[in-house]
Amino acid sequence: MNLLGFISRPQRFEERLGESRPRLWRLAYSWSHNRALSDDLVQDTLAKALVKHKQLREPELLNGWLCSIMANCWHDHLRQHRDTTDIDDVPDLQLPDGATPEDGCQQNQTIRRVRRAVGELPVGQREVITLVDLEECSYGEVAAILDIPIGTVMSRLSRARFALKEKLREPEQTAAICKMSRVK
Amino acid sequence: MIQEISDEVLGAYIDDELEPDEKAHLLDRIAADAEIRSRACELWQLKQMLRSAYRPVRDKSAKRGIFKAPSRPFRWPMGIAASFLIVGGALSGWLARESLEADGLTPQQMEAIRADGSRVVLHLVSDEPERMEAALRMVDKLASAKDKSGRPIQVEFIANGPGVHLLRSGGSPFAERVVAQHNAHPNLQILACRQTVDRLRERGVAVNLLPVVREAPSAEYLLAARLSQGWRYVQA
Repeated sequence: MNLLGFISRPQRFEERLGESRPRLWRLAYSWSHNRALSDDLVQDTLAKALVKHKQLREPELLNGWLCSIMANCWHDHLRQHRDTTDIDDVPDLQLPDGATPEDGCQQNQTIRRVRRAVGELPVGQREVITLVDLEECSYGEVAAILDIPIGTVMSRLSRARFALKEKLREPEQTAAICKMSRVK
Repeated sequence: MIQEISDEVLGAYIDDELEPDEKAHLLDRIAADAEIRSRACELWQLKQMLRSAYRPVRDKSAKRGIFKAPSRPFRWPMGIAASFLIVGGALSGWLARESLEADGLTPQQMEAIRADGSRVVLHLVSDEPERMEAALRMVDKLASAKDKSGRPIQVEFIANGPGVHLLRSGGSPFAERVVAQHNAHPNLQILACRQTVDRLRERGVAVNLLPVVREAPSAEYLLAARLSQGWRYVQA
Protein backbone atom coordinates (compact mmCIF):
# COMPACT_ATOMS: atom_id res chain seq x y z
CA MET A 1 0.00 0.00 0.00
CA ASN A 2 1.42 3.38 -0.94
CA LEU A 3 1.64 6.25 1.50
CA LEU A 4 -1.35 8.10 0.05
CA GLY A 5 -3.50 5.02 0.29
CA PHE A 6 -2.33 4.37 3.81
CA ILE A 7 -3.27 7.88 4.86
CA SER A 8 -6.56 8.14 3.00
CA ARG A 9 -8.02 4.72 3.78
CA PRO A 10 -8.88 5.30 7.45
CA GLN A 11 -10.45 8.62 6.51
CA ARG A 12 -12.70 7.02 3.92
CA PHE A 13 -13.60 4.27 6.31
CA GLU A 14 -14.57 6.76 8.98
CA GLU A 15 -16.64 8.72 6.52
CA ARG A 16 -18.46 5.59 5.52
CA LEU A 17 -19.10 4.80 9.15
CA GLY A 18 -20.49 8.29 9.61
CA GLU A 19 -22.80 7.80 6.65
CA SER A 20 -24.02 4.53 8.13
CA ARG A 21 -24.94 6.16 11.38
CA PRO A 22 -28.56 7.21 10.64
CA ARG A 23 -29.43 3.74 9.39
CA LEU A 24 -27.80 2.11 12.37
CA TRP A 25 -29.66 4.44 14.67
CA ARG A 26 -32.95 3.58 13.01
CA LEU A 27 -32.23 -0.12 13.38
CA ALA A 28 -31.18 0.29 17.00
CA TYR A 29 -34.33 2.28 17.67
CA SER A 30 -36.53 -0.31 15.99
CA TRP A 31 -35.05 -2.93 18.29
CA SER A 32 -34.99 -0.97 21.53
CA HIS A 33 -37.57 1.83 21.10
CA ASN A 34 -35.37 3.83 23.41
CA ARG A 35 -33.45 6.89 22.24
CA ALA A 36 -30.69 6.85 24.82
CA LEU A 37 -30.09 3.15 24.36
CA SER A 38 -30.04 3.62 20.59
CA ASP A 39 -27.39 6.30 21.01
CA ASP A 40 -25.33 3.93 23.13
CA LEU A 41 -25.72 1.01 20.76
CA VAL A 42 -24.63 3.07 17.78
CA GLN A 43 -21.68 4.54 19.65
CA ASP A 44 -20.57 1.10 20.81
CA THR A 45 -20.99 -0.28 17.31
CA LEU A 46 -18.99 2.47 15.66
CA ALA A 47 -16.28 2.34 18.27
CA LYS A 48 -15.91 -1.42 17.83
CA ALA A 49 -15.98 -1.03 14.06
CA LEU A 50 -13.10 1.44 14.27
CA VAL A 51 -11.05 -0.93 16.39
CA LYS A 52 -11.85 -3.96 14.25
CA HIS A 53 -11.85 -2.30 10.84
CA LYS A 54 -9.08 -4.57 9.56
CA GLN A 55 -11.45 -7.51 9.91
CA LEU A 56 -13.60 -6.09 7.13
CA ARG A 57 -12.02 -7.63 4.05
CA GLU A 58 -14.67 -6.57 1.55
CA PRO A 59 -15.78 -2.94 1.86
CA GLU A 60 -19.12 -3.62 0.18
CA LEU A 61 -20.07 -5.82 3.14
CA LEU A 62 -19.76 -2.90 5.54
CA ASN A 63 -23.47 -2.61 6.27
CA GLY A 64 -23.96 -6.26 7.17
CA TRP A 65 -20.77 -6.21 9.20
CA LEU A 66 -21.96 -3.18 11.18
CA CYS A 67 -25.37 -4.77 11.74
CA SER A 68 -23.64 -7.86 13.03
CA ILE A 69 -21.56 -5.82 15.48
CA MET A 70 -24.62 -3.95 16.63
CA ALA A 71 -26.59 -7.17 17.07
CA ASN A 72 -23.83 -8.38 19.38
CA CYS A 73 -23.90 -5.09 21.33
CA TRP A 74 -27.69 -5.37 21.59
CA HIS A 75 -27.55 -8.96 22.79
CA ASP A 76 -24.90 -8.00 25.34
CA HIS A 77 -27.21 -5.29 26.59
CA LEU A 78 -30.14 -7.70 26.83
CA ARG A 79 -28.02 -10.11 28.80
CA GLN A 80 -26.89 -7.40 31.20
CA HIS A 81 -30.12 -5.50 31.63
CA ARG A 82 -33.76 -6.13 31.84
CA ASP A 83 -35.24 -5.28 28.45
CA THR A 84 -37.03 -2.01 29.03
CA THR A 85 -38.98 -0.78 26.08
CA ASP A 86 -40.42 2.67 25.95
CA ILE A 87 -42.73 2.23 23.04
CA ASP A 88 -44.26 5.64 23.56
CA ASP A 89 -40.92 7.27 22.91
CA VAL A 90 -41.92 8.44 19.46
CA PRO A 91 -39.68 11.19 18.13
CA ASP A 92 -40.98 14.39 16.66
CA LEU A 93 -42.22 13.86 13.19
CA GLN A 94 -41.30 15.73 10.09
CA LEU A 95 -44.17 16.27 7.72
CA PRO A 96 -44.00 16.12 3.95
CA ASP A 97 -43.69 19.38 2.12
CA GLY A 98 -46.88 21.38 2.27
CA ALA A 99 -48.52 19.23 4.93
CA THR A 100 -49.96 20.80 8.03
CA PRO A 101 -49.71 19.48 11.59
CA GLU A 102 -53.30 18.31 11.24
CA ASP A 103 -52.32 16.29 8.19
CA GLY A 104 -49.65 14.66 10.28
CA CYS A 105 -52.16 13.52 12.84
CA GLN A 106 -53.10 10.37 11.02
CA GLN A 107 -49.50 9.61 10.10
CA ASN A 108 -48.51 10.05 13.72
CA GLN A 109 -51.15 7.62 14.85
CA THR A 110 -50.17 5.07 12.25
CA ILE A 111 -46.53 5.35 13.25
CA ARG A 112 -47.40 4.84 16.89
CA ARG A 113 -49.55 1.83 16.13
CA VAL A 114 -46.93 0.17 13.98
CA ARG A 115 -44.11 0.89 16.41
CA ARG A 116 -46.18 -0.32 19.31
CA ALA A 117 -46.93 -3.54 17.46
CA VAL A 118 -43.27 -4.03 16.57
CA GLY A 119 -42.26 -3.29 20.15
CA GLU A 120 -44.56 -6.04 21.37
CA LEU A 121 -42.92 -8.68 19.19
CA PRO A 122 -40.46 -11.10 20.79
CA VAL A 123 -36.92 -9.80 20.41
CA GLY A 124 -35.88 -12.47 17.92
CA GLN A 125 -38.81 -11.74 15.63
CA ARG A 126 -38.31 -8.00 15.97
CA GLU A 127 -34.67 -8.29 14.93
CA VAL A 128 -35.43 -10.38 11.88
CA ILE A 129 -38.32 -8.34 10.53
CA THR A 130 -36.49 -5.04 10.95
CA LEU A 131 -33.34 -6.36 9.28
CA VAL A 132 -35.38 -7.63 6.34
CA ASP A 133 -37.82 -4.75 5.96
CA LEU A 134 -35.78 -1.76 7.10
CA GLU A 135 -32.25 -2.75 6.23
CA GLU A 136 -33.34 -4.74 3.18
CA CYS A 137 -31.03 -7.57 4.16
CA SER A 138 -31.40 -10.89 2.38
CA TYR A 139 -32.38 -13.89 4.45
CA GLY A 140 -28.80 -15.13 4.16
CA GLU A 141 -27.43 -11.86 5.44
CA VAL A 142 -29.83 -11.88 8.38
CA ALA A 143 -28.80 -15.43 9.20
CA ALA A 144 -25.14 -14.35 9.22
CA ILE A 145 -25.78 -11.19 11.24
CA LEU A 146 -27.77 -12.97 13.93
CA ASP A 147 -25.88 -16.25 13.66
CA ILE A 148 -29.00 -18.34 13.18
CA PRO A 149 -30.07 -20.77 10.41
CA ILE A 150 -31.93 -19.39 7.38
CA GLY A 151 -34.90 -21.58 8.26
CA THR A 152 -35.12 -19.82 11.60
CA VAL A 153 -34.99 -16.46 9.83
CA MET A 154 -37.93 -17.46 7.65
CA SER A 155 -40.01 -18.87 10.46
CA ARG A 156 -39.38 -15.88 12.73
CA LEU A 157 -40.21 -13.52 9.90
CA SER A 158 -43.42 -15.33 9.10
CA ARG A 159 -44.47 -15.36 12.75
CA ALA A 160 -43.58 -11.69 13.11
CA ARG A 161 -45.68 -10.71 10.11
CA PHE A 162 -48.60 -12.78 11.27
CA ALA A 163 -48.41 -11.19 14.72
CA LEU A 164 -48.19 -7.69 13.26
CA LYS A 165 -51.22 -8.29 11.07
CA GLU A 166 -53.17 -9.44 14.09
CA LYS A 167 -52.06 -6.51 16.21
CA LEU A 168 -52.85 -3.95 13.52
CA ARG A 169 -56.24 -5.54 12.95
CA GLU A 170 -57.30 -4.47 16.42
CA PRO A 171 -59.35 -1.27 16.43
CA GLU A 172 -57.60 1.85 17.56
CA GLN A 173 -58.21 2.88 21.13
CA THR A 174 -58.64 6.53 20.42
CA ALA A 175 -60.13 8.24 17.43
CA ALA A 176 -58.22 11.04 15.78
CA ILE A 177 -59.66 14.18 14.39
CA CYS A 178 -57.83 14.92 11.20
CA LYS A 179 -58.37 17.32 8.40
CA MET A 180 -58.23 14.58 5.85
CA SER A 181 -60.51 12.20 7.62
CA ARG A 182 -61.45 8.76 6.49
CA VAL A 183 -65.17 8.68 6.19
CA LYS A 184 -65.25 4.94 5.99
CA MET B 1 -53.70 -31.31 -6.71
CA ILE B 2 -52.97 -27.62 -6.23
CA GLN B 3 -50.50 -26.98 -3.46
CA GLU B 4 -51.31 -24.50 -0.73
CA ILE B 5 -49.20 -21.34 -0.82
CA SER B 6 -47.86 -20.61 2.65
CA ASP B 7 -47.33 -17.14 4.10
CA GLU B 8 -43.62 -17.99 4.29
CA VAL B 9 -43.49 -18.46 0.52
CA LEU B 10 -45.53 -15.31 -0.11
CA GLY B 11 -43.22 -13.44 2.25
CA ALA B 12 -40.18 -14.75 0.38
CA TYR B 13 -41.78 -13.49 -2.83
CA ILE B 14 -42.25 -9.94 -1.57
CA ASP B 15 -38.71 -10.04 -0.14
CA ASP B 16 -37.41 -11.14 -3.54
CA GLU B 17 -35.96 -14.32 -2.09
CA LEU B 18 -37.49 -16.85 -4.47
CA GLU B 19 -35.60 -18.58 -7.25
CA PRO B 20 -36.73 -17.57 -10.76
CA ASP B 21 -38.69 -20.77 -11.38
CA GLU B 22 -40.36 -20.57 -7.97
CA LYS B 23 -41.22 -16.96 -8.64
CA ALA B 24 -42.67 -17.74 -12.06
CA HIS B 25 -44.80 -20.51 -10.58
CA LEU B 26 -46.03 -18.25 -7.81
CA LEU B 27 -46.83 -15.43 -10.22
CA ASP B 28 -49.00 -17.83 -12.17
CA ARG B 29 -50.85 -18.74 -9.01
CA ILE B 30 -51.17 -15.09 -8.01
CA ALA B 31 -52.57 -14.21 -11.41
CA ALA B 32 -55.15 -16.98 -11.18
CA ASP B 33 -56.22 -16.72 -7.57
CA ALA B 34 -57.68 -13.58 -6.02
CA GLU B 35 -57.26 -14.94 -2.51
CA ILE B 36 -53.51 -15.47 -2.94
CA ARG B 37 -53.27 -12.07 -4.59
CA SER B 38 -55.01 -10.48 -1.65
CA ARG B 39 -52.68 -12.19 0.84
CA ALA B 40 -49.60 -11.11 -1.12
CA CYS B 41 -50.95 -7.58 -1.31
CA GLU B 42 -51.54 -7.56 2.42
CA LEU B 43 -47.99 -8.72 3.16
CA TRP B 44 -46.59 -6.12 0.82
CA GLN B 45 -48.65 -3.43 2.51
CA LEU B 46 -47.43 -4.58 5.90
CA LYS B 47 -43.84 -4.34 4.74
CA GLN B 48 -44.38 -0.81 3.42
CA MET B 49 -46.12 0.16 6.62
CA LEU B 50 -43.21 -0.98 8.74
CA ARG B 51 -40.71 0.76 6.51
CA SER B 52 -42.67 3.97 6.71
CA ALA B 53 -42.95 3.80 10.49
CA TYR B 54 -39.18 3.86 10.93
CA ARG B 55 -37.77 6.61 8.82
CA PRO B 56 -34.10 7.30 9.57
CA VAL B 57 -34.85 8.86 12.91
CA ARG B 58 -33.21 12.15 13.71
CA ASP B 59 -30.07 11.32 15.61
CA LYS B 60 -29.49 14.12 18.08
CA SER B 61 -26.22 12.64 19.25
CA ALA B 62 -24.67 12.81 15.82
CA LYS B 63 -23.38 16.33 16.36
CA ARG B 64 -21.60 15.47 19.56
CA GLY B 65 -20.49 12.02 18.53
CA ILE B 66 -17.20 10.92 17.16
CA PHE B 67 -18.48 11.03 13.62
CA LYS B 68 -19.99 13.75 11.56
CA ALA B 69 -23.67 13.72 10.84
CA PRO B 70 -24.58 13.20 7.18
CA SER B 71 -24.14 16.42 5.25
CA ARG B 72 -27.63 16.33 3.76
CA PRO B 73 -30.47 16.71 6.26
CA PHE B 74 -33.06 14.00 5.93
CA ARG B 75 -36.35 15.01 4.41
CA TRP B 76 -39.20 12.65 4.42
CA PRO B 77 -40.04 11.96 0.79
CA MET B 78 -43.61 12.82 -0.04
CA GLY B 79 -44.21 9.35 -1.39
CA ILE B 80 -43.17 7.68 1.83
CA ALA B 81 -45.34 10.01 3.81
CA ALA B 82 -48.24 9.29 1.54
CA SER B 83 -47.71 5.58 1.81
CA PHE B 84 -48.97 5.91 5.35
CA LEU B 85 -52.28 6.90 3.94
CA ILE B 86 -52.26 4.17 1.38
CA VAL B 87 -51.05 1.27 3.41
CA GLY B 88 -52.66 2.37 6.63
CA GLY B 89 -55.92 2.94 4.91
CA ALA B 90 -55.62 -0.08 2.72
CA LEU B 91 -54.98 -2.45 5.56
CA SER B 92 -57.70 -1.14 7.78
CA GLY B 93 -60.07 -0.91 4.84
CA TRP B 94 -59.30 -4.43 3.87
CA LEU B 95 -60.13 -5.51 7.35
CA ALA B 96 -63.30 -3.49 7.40
CA ARG B 97 -64.75 -4.96 4.27
CA GLU B 98 -67.24 -7.07 6.13
CA SER B 99 -68.92 -4.01 7.50
CA LEU B 100 -69.48 -2.32 4.15
CA GLU B 101 -72.98 -1.16 3.51
CA ALA B 102 -74.71 -1.93 0.25
CA ASP B 103 -74.21 1.52 -1.21
CA GLY B 104 -70.86 2.02 0.47
CA LEU B 105 -71.52 5.26 2.34
CA THR B 106 -73.81 6.00 5.24
CA PRO B 107 -76.08 9.07 5.29
CA GLN B 108 -73.94 10.52 8.08
CA GLN B 109 -70.81 10.17 6.00
CA MET B 110 -72.48 11.76 3.01
CA GLU B 111 -73.74 14.59 5.19
CA ALA B 112 -70.20 15.20 6.47
CA ILE B 113 -68.93 15.39 2.93
CA ARG B 114 -71.69 17.78 1.84
CA ALA B 115 -71.31 19.94 4.91
CA ASP B 116 -67.81 21.16 4.22
CA GLY B 117 -68.20 21.31 0.45
CA SER B 118 -65.58 18.65 0.19
CA ARG B 119 -63.63 17.41 -2.66
CA VAL B 120 -63.27 13.67 -2.32
CA VAL B 121 -60.61 11.26 -3.46
CA LEU B 122 -61.89 7.69 -3.64
CA HIS B 123 -59.23 5.00 -3.56
CA LEU B 124 -59.49 1.39 -4.79
CA VAL B 125 -56.78 -1.22 -4.20
CA SER B 126 -58.69 -4.43 -4.81
CA ASP B 127 -59.78 -6.34 -7.90
CA GLU B 128 -62.35 -8.42 -6.10
CA PRO B 129 -65.59 -8.05 -8.08
CA GLU B 130 -67.68 -7.07 -5.08
CA ARG B 131 -65.14 -4.41 -4.10
CA MET B 132 -64.99 -3.02 -7.61
CA GLU B 133 -68.75 -2.92 -7.83
CA ALA B 134 -68.98 -1.26 -4.43
CA ALA B 135 -66.44 1.32 -5.62
CA LEU B 136 -68.57 2.11 -8.65
CA ARG B 137 -71.65 2.55 -6.48
CA MET B 138 -69.70 4.93 -4.30
CA VAL B 139 -68.40 6.83 -7.30
CA ASP B 140 -71.93 7.26 -8.56
CA LYS B 141 -73.24 8.36 -5.20
CA LEU B 142 -70.44 10.84 -4.58
CA ALA B 143 -70.40 12.28 -8.07
CA SER B 144 -74.19 12.71 -8.02
CA ALA B 145 -74.13 14.53 -4.68
CA LYS B 146 -74.13 18.26 -4.25
CA ASP B 147 -72.71 20.33 -1.46
CA LYS B 148 -74.81 22.72 0.62
CA SER B 149 -74.42 25.40 -2.01
CA GLY B 150 -75.87 23.10 -4.62
CA ARG B 151 -72.60 22.57 -6.44
CA PRO B 152 -71.52 19.09 -7.46
CA ILE B 153 -68.86 17.53 -5.26
CA GLN B 154 -65.54 17.17 -7.02
CA VAL B 155 -64.55 13.52 -7.11
CA GLU B 156 -61.31 11.85 -8.09
CA PHE B 157 -61.33 8.09 -8.28
CA ILE B 158 -57.86 6.51 -8.24
CA ALA B 159 -57.04 2.83 -8.51
CA ASN B 160 -53.69 1.26 -7.83
CA GLY B 161 -52.35 -2.23 -7.26
CA PRO B 162 -54.90 -4.88 -8.18
CA GLY B 163 -57.56 -2.15 -8.31
CA VAL B 164 -56.26 -1.02 -11.70
CA HIS B 165 -57.98 -4.07 -13.15
CA LEU B 166 -61.29 -2.22 -12.94
CA LEU B 167 -60.03 0.37 -15.39
CA ARG B 168 -58.51 -1.95 -17.97
CA SER B 169 -59.81 -2.09 -21.49
CA GLY B 170 -60.54 -5.66 -22.46
CA GLY B 171 -60.19 -6.91 -18.89
CA SER B 172 -62.50 -4.98 -16.63
CA PRO B 173 -65.80 -6.70 -15.89
CA PHE B 174 -67.37 -3.27 -15.42
CA ALA B 175 -65.84 -1.37 -18.34
CA GLU B 176 -69.15 -0.05 -19.66
CA ARG B 177 -70.18 1.22 -16.25
CA VAL B 178 -66.88 3.00 -15.78
CA VAL B 179 -67.26 4.78 -19.12
CA ALA B 180 -70.92 5.56 -18.46
CA GLN B 181 -70.12 7.09 -15.09
CA HIS B 182 -67.38 9.20 -16.55
CA ASN B 183 -69.71 10.47 -19.25
CA ALA B 184 -72.51 11.13 -16.78
CA HIS B 185 -70.42 13.17 -14.33
CA PRO B 186 -68.29 16.06 -15.55
CA ASN B 187 -67.12 16.51 -11.94
CA LEU B 188 -65.52 13.04 -11.91
CA GLN B 189 -61.92 12.23 -12.78
CA ILE B 190 -60.93 8.60 -13.13
CA LEU B 191 -57.25 7.86 -12.64
CA ALA B 192 -54.97 4.85 -12.65
CA CYS B 193 -51.62 4.68 -10.89
CA ARG B 194 -48.91 4.75 -13.54
CA GLN B 195 -46.45 2.95 -11.26
CA THR B 196 -48.80 -0.01 -11.08
CA VAL B 197 -49.34 0.03 -14.83
CA ASP B 198 -45.59 0.19 -15.46
CA ARG B 199 -44.94 -2.67 -13.06
CA LEU B 200 -47.52 -4.83 -14.78
CA ARG B 201 -46.04 -4.05 -18.17
CA GLU B 202 -42.56 -4.90 -16.90
CA ARG B 203 -43.93 -8.32 -16.02
CA GLY B 204 -45.20 -8.74 -19.55
CA VAL B 205 -48.85 -8.01 -18.79
CA ALA B 206 -50.50 -6.04 -21.61
CA VAL B 207 -52.30 -3.18 -19.90
CA ASN B 208 -54.62 -0.95 -21.91
CA LEU B 209 -56.65 1.50 -19.93
CA LEU B 210 -60.16 2.58 -20.84
CA PRO B 211 -60.14 5.78 -22.90
CA VAL B 212 -61.81 7.76 -20.10
CA VAL B 213 -59.03 6.92 -17.66
CA ARG B 214 -56.11 9.25 -17.07
CA GLU B 215 -52.83 8.18 -15.53
CA ALA B 216 -51.53 9.71 -12.30
CA PRO B 217 -47.75 9.41 -11.77
CA SER B 218 -48.46 7.42 -8.64
CA ALA B 219 -51.33 6.93 -6.22
CA GLU B 220 -49.03 7.87 -3.36
CA TYR B 221 -48.20 11.28 -4.77
CA LEU B 222 -51.76 12.01 -5.76
CA LEU B 223 -53.03 11.20 -2.28
CA ALA B 224 -50.22 13.19 -0.66
CA ALA B 225 -51.12 16.18 -2.79
CA ARG B 226 -54.82 15.87 -2.06
CA LEU B 227 -54.11 15.48 1.64
CA SER B 228 -52.26 18.75 1.72
CA GLN B 229 -55.11 20.40 -0.19
CA GLY B 230 -57.73 19.29 2.30
CA TRP B 231 -59.57 16.67 0.29
CA ARG B 232 -61.49 13.94 2.02
CA TYR B 233 -60.27 10.41 1.62
CA VAL B 234 -62.62 7.49 1.09
CA GLN B 235 -61.47 3.97 0.58
CA ALA B 236 -63.58 1.71 -1.57
